[in-house]
Amino acid sequence: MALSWKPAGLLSRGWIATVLLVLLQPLPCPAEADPSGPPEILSLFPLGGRPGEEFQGVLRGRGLNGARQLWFDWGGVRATVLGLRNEQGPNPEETPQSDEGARPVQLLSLRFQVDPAAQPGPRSLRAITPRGLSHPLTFHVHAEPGHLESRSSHDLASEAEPLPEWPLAVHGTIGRAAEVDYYAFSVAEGERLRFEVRSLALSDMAISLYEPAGSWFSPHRARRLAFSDEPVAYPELSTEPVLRHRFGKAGRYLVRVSGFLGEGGPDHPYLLRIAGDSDEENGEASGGVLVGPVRDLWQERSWTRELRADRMEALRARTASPPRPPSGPVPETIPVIELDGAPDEASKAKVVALPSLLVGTIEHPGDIDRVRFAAKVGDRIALEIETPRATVPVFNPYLKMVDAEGAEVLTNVHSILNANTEIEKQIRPKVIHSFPRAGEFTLEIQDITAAFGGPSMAYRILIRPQVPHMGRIHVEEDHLNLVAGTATPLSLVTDQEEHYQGSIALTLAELPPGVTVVAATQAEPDTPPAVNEGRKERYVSRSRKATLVLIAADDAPATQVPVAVKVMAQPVVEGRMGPMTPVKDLLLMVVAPVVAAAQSASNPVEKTVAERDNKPESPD
Amino acid sequence: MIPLLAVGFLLIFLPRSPAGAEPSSSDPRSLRLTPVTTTLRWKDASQQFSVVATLAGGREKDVTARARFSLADPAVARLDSAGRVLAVADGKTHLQVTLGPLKAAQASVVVVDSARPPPFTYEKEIGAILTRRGCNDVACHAGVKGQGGFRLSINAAHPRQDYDWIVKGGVYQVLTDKRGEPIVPRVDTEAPESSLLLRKPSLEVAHGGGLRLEKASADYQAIANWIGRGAPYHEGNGGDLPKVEGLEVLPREGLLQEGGSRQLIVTALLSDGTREDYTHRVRFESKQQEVAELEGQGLVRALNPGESNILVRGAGYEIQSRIGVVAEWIPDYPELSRANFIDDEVFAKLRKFNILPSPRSSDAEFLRRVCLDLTGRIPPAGRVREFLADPDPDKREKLIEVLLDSPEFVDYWTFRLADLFRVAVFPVGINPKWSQSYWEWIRDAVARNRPYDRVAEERIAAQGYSPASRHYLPYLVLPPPENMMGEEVRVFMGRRLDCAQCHDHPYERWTQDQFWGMAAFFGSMFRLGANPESVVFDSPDGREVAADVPSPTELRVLHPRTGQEVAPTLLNGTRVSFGGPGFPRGELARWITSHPYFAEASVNRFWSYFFGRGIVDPVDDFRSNNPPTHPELLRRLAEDFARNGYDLRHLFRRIVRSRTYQLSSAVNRTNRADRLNYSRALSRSLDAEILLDAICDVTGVPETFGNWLHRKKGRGGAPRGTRAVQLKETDIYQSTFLDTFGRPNRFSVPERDGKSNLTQALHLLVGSTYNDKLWTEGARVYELFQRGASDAEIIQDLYLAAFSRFPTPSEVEELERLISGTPSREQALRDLQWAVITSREFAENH
Repeated sequence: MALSWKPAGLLSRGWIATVLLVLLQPLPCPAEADPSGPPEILSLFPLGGRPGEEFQGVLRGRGLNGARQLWFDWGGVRATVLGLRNEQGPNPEETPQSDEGARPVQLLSLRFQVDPAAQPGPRSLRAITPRGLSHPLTFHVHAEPGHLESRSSHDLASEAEPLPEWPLAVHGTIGRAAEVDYYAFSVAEGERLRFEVRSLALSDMAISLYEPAGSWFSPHRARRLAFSDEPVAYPELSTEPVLRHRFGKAGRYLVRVSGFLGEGGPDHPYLLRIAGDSDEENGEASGGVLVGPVRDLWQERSWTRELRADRMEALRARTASPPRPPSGPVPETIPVIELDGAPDEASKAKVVALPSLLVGTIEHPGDIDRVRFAAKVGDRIALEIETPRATVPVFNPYLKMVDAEGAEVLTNVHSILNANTEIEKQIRPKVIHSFPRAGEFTLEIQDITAAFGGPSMAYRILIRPQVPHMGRIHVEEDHLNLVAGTATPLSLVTDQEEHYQGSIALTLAELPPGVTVVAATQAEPDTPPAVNEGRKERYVSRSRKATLVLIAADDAPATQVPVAVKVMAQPVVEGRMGPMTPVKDLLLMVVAPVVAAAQSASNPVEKTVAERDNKPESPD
Repeated sequence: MIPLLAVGFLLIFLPRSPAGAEPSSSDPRSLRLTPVTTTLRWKDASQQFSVVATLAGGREKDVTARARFSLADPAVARLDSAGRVLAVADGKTHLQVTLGPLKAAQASVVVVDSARPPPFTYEKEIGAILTRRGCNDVACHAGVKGQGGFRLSINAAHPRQDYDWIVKGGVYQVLTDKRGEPIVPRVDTEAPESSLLLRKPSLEVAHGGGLRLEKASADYQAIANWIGRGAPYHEGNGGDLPKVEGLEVLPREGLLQEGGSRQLIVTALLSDGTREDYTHRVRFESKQQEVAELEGQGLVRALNPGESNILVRGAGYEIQSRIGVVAEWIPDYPELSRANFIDDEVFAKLRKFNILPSPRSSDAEFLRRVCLDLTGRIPPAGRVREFLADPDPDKREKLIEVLLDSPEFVDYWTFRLADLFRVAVFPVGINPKWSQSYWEWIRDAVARNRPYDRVAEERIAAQGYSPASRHYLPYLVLPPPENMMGEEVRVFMGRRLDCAQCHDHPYERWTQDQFWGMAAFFGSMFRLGANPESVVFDSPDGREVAADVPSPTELRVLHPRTGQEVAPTLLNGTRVSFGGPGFPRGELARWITSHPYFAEASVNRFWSYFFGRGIVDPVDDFRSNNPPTHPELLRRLAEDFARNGYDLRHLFRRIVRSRTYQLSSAVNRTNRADRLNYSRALSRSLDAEILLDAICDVTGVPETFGNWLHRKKGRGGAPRGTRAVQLKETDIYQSTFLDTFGRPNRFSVPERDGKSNLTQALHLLVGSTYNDKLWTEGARVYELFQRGASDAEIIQDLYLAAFSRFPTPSEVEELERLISGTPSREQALRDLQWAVITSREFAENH
C-alpha cells in the first residue's frame, strides 16, 4: 500500500501528515538516549487549594532537574518553582523495592496561586523540565477553606486532630504503611454532612465516621457510625469514597481516612472535603466539571454515553457517504418511546418503527419490558444501550431479541471460550445484527438478574438501522517528549463500526517547527487467541492499529511549553472524504539534546533551579 | 528458654479439686419382663429376655443376672445362664421370673419347627457376622469407596451386592457399571482357609483394620464352613425366608444407676409379620464410652453419670437406644432456681439423671466468661474491681445489656460470622476489594442486628455485585453446583447431604435424586465479565445466556446416574421453575430460611459458641444417628428464635441470662463425668484470635499485623491497635501465632479443633508473643515496676487483668515468696507474667 499525503495547505500549518493504514518498514530507534530520562511526578501535596489562596506545596518525583514551571490544562492556577532537592536516604518502609536502583526521588518546592476567580474543579497538572513534560496529576480547586494536617501521628481515635468548622477541605497524607488519620469535628443535631476523599491514582482511600463514645472496655474506643469505600471494584469506576451521614445528636465526632489494606507512604496524599449535604447528587461539590482541551470525545461503546435524538446525524457525520437508506424516509429526530407503565405481556408489547429510542426502567425484580418491530430479510440493525443512572456493574441491562416463535435471535451478551477453555461472557452496550429472514421480532429488556429493580435502573435503548461509520480513535500515548534529532512512534487504534469498509485518514496538525510525521509499522505482540471468539462481529468493532512516527529534526527548536498537536481523523469511502473530526489534543514537547546531556553530566540540582529563576525565593 | 521460676508459678495455677455431693439408693418396687411373647422357629432358636426392676423415684435397674427364671414346660424350651431361652421341642410354655418376693408378669414362649435346622441365608448368617465384627462399618469397608479394594454395603444393607463382591470379586464404580480392572474373589472354595475373607481379619496377612476375627471363634468357623460348602447365597428354602423390614430395640430409653447394667434386646421385624430375636446378630456401639460401655452382646454397663446413645446396627438398619446413667439417688434433690425455659429443659434432665448441677458461678467467673462469649475480650482490671464490688443484685443483667450494645460485640460476632461465611481473599475471588465488601456486609448485619434469616437469605441468593455473592467465586472459578449447594445446606440447615451425591444416603432419607434436585438450584449460575472482575449471576430463564459458544453442561445439572437434566427441586419434592416472580435460587433461599431446620441449625450453632458443643454436635451434622442431647430444648430455642424475628442478640441474651449458662465450672461428685447435660460450665480453650488479643490486653502490648499483599512494597498493614478479631481476612495478615494456634484459612467451612500441639508448646516457650511482650515500654508489669508498685500490687493487677479475679491470700503469699527469693526482681516479674499467660486458667474460658 502507498502512503497518501493530503495536499499541503489544507490546514493552517504546513506540518501535516495524512496517513492511511499502511505497512512500512520499521524505523530505527533514536540514536541517543538520555540516561536521566523524562520527568516523572509521583505525588503532590497539598492536592489543591481555594480560589484566592496562595500557598506552598511540594511535588515529589524523579528527573525534575531544571523543572521550570508547572503546566495546567485549565486556567486559574499558577505555580512558581521555589527549589529542588533530593529526598533524604530511602526509607525501606516507604520506598518500593522495585524502585531500587532507580533515579533518586526529588522534592520540588512550589508556590501555588489560585486566582480568586478560578472556577472550582479538578485540573491536570504536569511538570515541565528541559527533558520534557511529565504525566499528569490532579490538582483540585475547592471552594471550601483549606486545612493542612498538622499532627504527625493521629492514628488512634484518642489522638484525633481537631478540625475547624465545616465546610472544609483537609489536606493530609497517609504517610506510612498501616497509618490512619483521625480528625475530630462537631455538628449540631440533625445535621447532614457529605464527606469525600480525593487522592491520587495510586491511592485508594476509605472514610469512616465514629462517635467517640468510649466503651465498657476502653474509654478511648470509638463507635463506628458509617463507612465508605467505593461500593464495587470495577474498571473505570472511581475509587474515591463518598459518605453521607445525618447526625442524630449534636456533639463531637471523628472522621477517619485510611488507605486500602493499610497502604501508605509519601505518595498517598489526600483531600478530605467536608460539606453540608443536600439530597442532590453533586459529584464535584465545589464546582462541576471543567471543559478543557479536546480529549477523546467520541464514545461509541460506553454505558454512559448520551444517546440523543440526533444520534443518526451524529453517526452520519462519521462517515463519508450516507448509509444505504432504509425503507421509507429516515427522520431527522428519533422518536422516543416511553416504556414505563407499559404492559409486560409479550402480546401487548408496543410496536415500534426503526429508528426508535426506547426509554424505560426495570421497575421491580423480574420486570421485563418489551417492544415489537418488523424486519425484512437483510435488514441490518444496531442496538445501543445507555444506562443514565445506575450502570454496569450494578445494573446490567440484558437484551434479548426473539422471533415470533419465541426463539432467541440475539442477545447483548458476548460468549467466548477463552484460552483457558473457560466460557467467558461479557455484557455489551452495543450489538449489531443482520436479519437472515423477515418477520416480527420482540425485544425484551431486563436486568440480567431477576433479583433487582427500582428507579435507578433506567435505560435508554436506541434501535436503529446500521450506519457504517468511523468509530472511536484511540491514541495510546498521553503525551510525547521528542528529543531533537530523534524519532518517536505514536500508536493509534481506529475502530470501524457496523461494517464500515472505508479508510480512516489520520492527521496531526499544528506540529511545532522542526517536527515531521511519517507512517510506520510495528509488530503486534503475540497474545493467546481465544479458542472460540463467539459472534465477535456482533459485539466488538473491527479495529486497526496505525503507527505514526514523529521526527524532530536536529535543529528543531526546543519548546518551552507543551504544544497541543491536533490529532484528527477523517473517513474516506469510495474516494469521498468525510468531515475532519477532532480526536485529541496531544501534548508534545521538543527537547534539546544538549540540555539533557549537560544535566546528566552534572547534577547541580539547586543551582539549575536558581540559574533558571535567577531570583530564588525562600519558602514561607 | 524456659523461665525456671515460671515452673514454680505454674504449680500455683494447677486446677483445684471440685466439691462433692452425697448420693443415696432404694429397693426394687416391681419387675418387668421383656419381651412378653416370643416364637422360636427352627432348631436351636433362642430368645434373649431381660428383667428390669423399678425403683423408687421411677429409676430402673436391670436385674436379669439376679432374677430367677423358670419355664413351665422344660420339654418345650430350656434356659441358659444369661437369661436366654432356647428351643427344645415344638409346643407352648411360659417363662416366669422372680426376684425375692417380687414376681414379674409371665412371658409366652412358642416353639415351632424345632427339629429342622434353619435354612441358610448369606444375609442372616455371614452378613450378620460381618456386621457384628464391624467389617461393614462406614469407617471400614462400607465407606463410599470401600477399603483396600474391598467394599461392603453399610450394615449389610445390600447383601446380594456384598455376596457378589465376596464370591465373584468387585471394583468400585460410582457412576458406571463398566469395569476397568480385573476382579478377584475373596473366597477360595477349594481351600477355605486360604480365603482373603478369613486371612485378612484374622491377621494371617496384613489388615489395616486389625484383628477382627479370631481363628478360634465360632464366627471364623461359620465362615470357613460356609466357604467350604461352596459359599452359597442360600441353602434349602432360605430364599423363601421372610425379609427383615426393621429392627426394634428395647428399651428405647433407659436409665441406669452408676455401676449398673442393662441388657438390650433387639428384635427383627419380618416381612411375614413375625418377629425374631436379633440380639446376637447385630453390632452394638456406645457413642459416649465414658458414660456407658458394652459388655458382650447388648449388655450395657453404666460407668459415669451422663447419657449415651447405644447404636444398634444390623440387617441394613441402624437404630439406637438412649441410655442415661444416674448417680446414686438423691432423695432431697434441691429445687433449682430458673431464669428461663433453657433452665427448665436442662434441669429437668439433670433431675432425671440424678445429676446435681454445679452452683451458680461466682461474679468473677461469670464476668470473665460472659465478656469472652459476647465480645471475645477479657474484662479490664478496673472493670473487674468495679463489678466485683458492685452490690447491685441485677448487675449481671445490666452487664449483659452493656456488652450486647458494645462495639466489641460487633467486632466479635463479625469475626465469628466472617469465619463461618469464609471471608478471605483467595476463597472469594482473589480480590481484596471483594473480601472487604463481603466483610463489611457482615459487619453491617451485626451492627444493625439484622435478622439472621434475612442475612442467610441474602447470602444464599446473592448474585451480581452484592457483597455476599463473593463466596460463590473462589479463585475466580465458579464451583460445581453440588459444592455450592452442599455448603449452604450445611451452614444454614446443619445437614450434610454430601453422601447422597453418589448414592442414596446410607443413614438418612436423603436420596441421590434429592441431592441433585437441590444442586440444580445452583446450576443456572454463570460468570459474567472478565476476570478478575467477573461475578456470578443466575440466568433469568434458566437457559443458557448467549449460547454463542455452546457448552454441553453449562447451566444444566445432569443426574450422574441417569444423565438426565435435573430441575431445581426442594428437599420436600417441590419443583421450582423459572418464570415466577423471583428466581429459583431466591426461592430456595426463602425456603431454607423458613424451614424449621434453619432455626434449629442456627440456634444449635450459636449455642455451641457459648457451651463448647452443640445440642447436636458436630453442629452441622444433624442426622438420625446423631440426635440432640436435649431435643425439647432445641425445639424451644428454635421456636423462640423464629418468634423473635431471628434476632441474634435476643438469642444470646436468652442464653447468657439462663442459670444454665451461669453455672460454675467447679465439678461435684454427680457431674464430674458429665459433658453433655450442661450440669456445669465446661472449660474451653480460647480460639487463636481471642487468645492473642487477651495476651495483648494482659501484657499491655498490642500486636502489629502486616499484610503480605503489600509486603513487597512495604506499604500495607492493619492500623495501629487493630485486634486479631478485627482482621477482615485471615489469609493476607501474617501471624505465626494465629496459624500455630489454629486460625482456620477459611478455604472451607472452618472447624476449629482446639487441640494442643507441639508447635504451640514450643511457641509458649520461645515464641515472640509469649516472650517479647513481657518487658517493654508500655507493658503492664514493666510500667508498674517503673512506678514502684509493690509485688502484691503487681500480682493483684495481673490476676485481675488475666483471670478476672483477685488472687487468694495463699497465692499472693506464695508468689511474693517466689519473687523475693529470686536475685533479679525484674526476671521474677517477667516469669510471673509468663506463667500467668501460659496458664490454663488464662488460656481457657471457664
